[in-house]
Amino acid sequence: MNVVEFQNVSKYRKDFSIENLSLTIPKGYITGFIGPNGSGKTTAISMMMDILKFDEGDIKLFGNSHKDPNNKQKIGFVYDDLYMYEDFTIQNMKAFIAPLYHSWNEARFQEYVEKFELPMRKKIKKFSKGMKMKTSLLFALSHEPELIIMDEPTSGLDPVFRRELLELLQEKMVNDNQTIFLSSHITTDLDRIADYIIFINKGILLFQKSMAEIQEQFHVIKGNIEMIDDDTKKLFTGLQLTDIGFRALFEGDPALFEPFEDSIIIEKASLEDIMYFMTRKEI
Amino acid sequence: MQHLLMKEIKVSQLYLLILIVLIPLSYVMNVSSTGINIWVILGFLPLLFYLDSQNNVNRFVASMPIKHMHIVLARYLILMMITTGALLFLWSIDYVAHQGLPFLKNHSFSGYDILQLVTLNALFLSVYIPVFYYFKNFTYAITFFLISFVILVYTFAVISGNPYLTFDEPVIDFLVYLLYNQPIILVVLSLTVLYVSFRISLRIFVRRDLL
Repeated sequence: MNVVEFQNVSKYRKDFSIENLSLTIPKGYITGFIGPNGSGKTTAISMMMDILKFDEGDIKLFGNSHKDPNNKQKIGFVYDDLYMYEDFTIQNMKAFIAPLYHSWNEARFQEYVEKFELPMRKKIKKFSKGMKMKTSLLFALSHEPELIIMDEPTSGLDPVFRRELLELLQEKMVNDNQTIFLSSHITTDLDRIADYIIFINKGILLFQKSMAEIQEQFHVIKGNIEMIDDDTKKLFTGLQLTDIGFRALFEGDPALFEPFEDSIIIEKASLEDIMYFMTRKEI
Repeated sequence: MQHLLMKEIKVSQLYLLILIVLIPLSYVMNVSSTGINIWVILGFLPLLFYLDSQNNVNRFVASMPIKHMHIVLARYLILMMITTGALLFLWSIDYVAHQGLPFLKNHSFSGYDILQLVTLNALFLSVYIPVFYYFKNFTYAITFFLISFVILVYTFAVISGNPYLTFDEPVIDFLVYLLYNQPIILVVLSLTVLYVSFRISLRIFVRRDLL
């Protein structure tokens, strides 16, 4: 079952467009949403949340129209920053936010305040980037949502909290059967925790696959430059040439290269390799 | 809805405190305060939109289970509550001041004066709230607000202060009579223009991108 479905969604702007975007977010898994900066990740998420309008297509949340505000009872949303009045404290925010959710869990809220070591009466403008992210997370998790949507949550965070955050998300998914949708251009985070990956570039969906499929289908091939000609170039999704050799991304069965086993190296491609080669094609 | 209203009050509490201090102070200092106070009261409008814009709050609010209609309605209600409350406070301070401060030269407000000021505020808010929703960029909105407001006040001053400009047509006389003698007309007029303005603002808000 899918909690989110995009059906041929398009949005046209002067300088940027999303075209015919169709994707799904399966229930009970962590889905990573990757793409370089400016590829349309935030735009797609904002359309999902009805913050941005789209020109064509349809978006469904939990089988309903994405415009239905009741859907948001089931969603915990974390932006890349904390968009709230900077003179507010966590206490002020709670007074406003908690009554909006039927499933607000005060005990869970207190538990996270303690766990994240957040001050209740300090003004938000005095918070560090990490504290702001923790505050966003605090409010997103305290109403026990079915779906957690996070837009670049790890950008600008120190490695220690980044890892803690990822562990927490994995724990939520396993223990509470929550669905997590996480956009990031830091692909190493997703290598660690994602079950599915959606890859977007310049507003166009490049693929949606499970991590198992990605690990099976994508490989980095390294070899001598003499092996590259017009025919072999066509085999690769992306190619990097240097003075002494080449690195290329191959999508398909790597058994094809078995005859060249001694002269090439075949490695499993990381998400970073895939993103790098698929967005650059030939370097 | 009440949580949205509480949020708006919390956001503007410092400005409210300034207003609470400024109104009695203007009487103690024997300064003609009506114009200043109206200007300060109308300052709430750009203030609330400025704070939203500066902190990108609409992005956050729109991600929560709140109807867009309630977001816009809360803005109208809070602005009307603040402006009406401030004018009632002005009236009560004016009454007390005229009892205890013999040096005051200006005549005291009647209830009808206050009703006219409330109507005037309602008309201003009805015109300018949709303007602040229309312009995504706050700088454009405040520029439009200030320029048009100055033009409006200047035009009014020129027309009313110029003895060569007279409006003695029967229709205008009748309208002036209604405005000055029929409190119900003022209340109905305020509510009608506020409702029309609210529908326009809502239409703008639900159709526009919040980023």
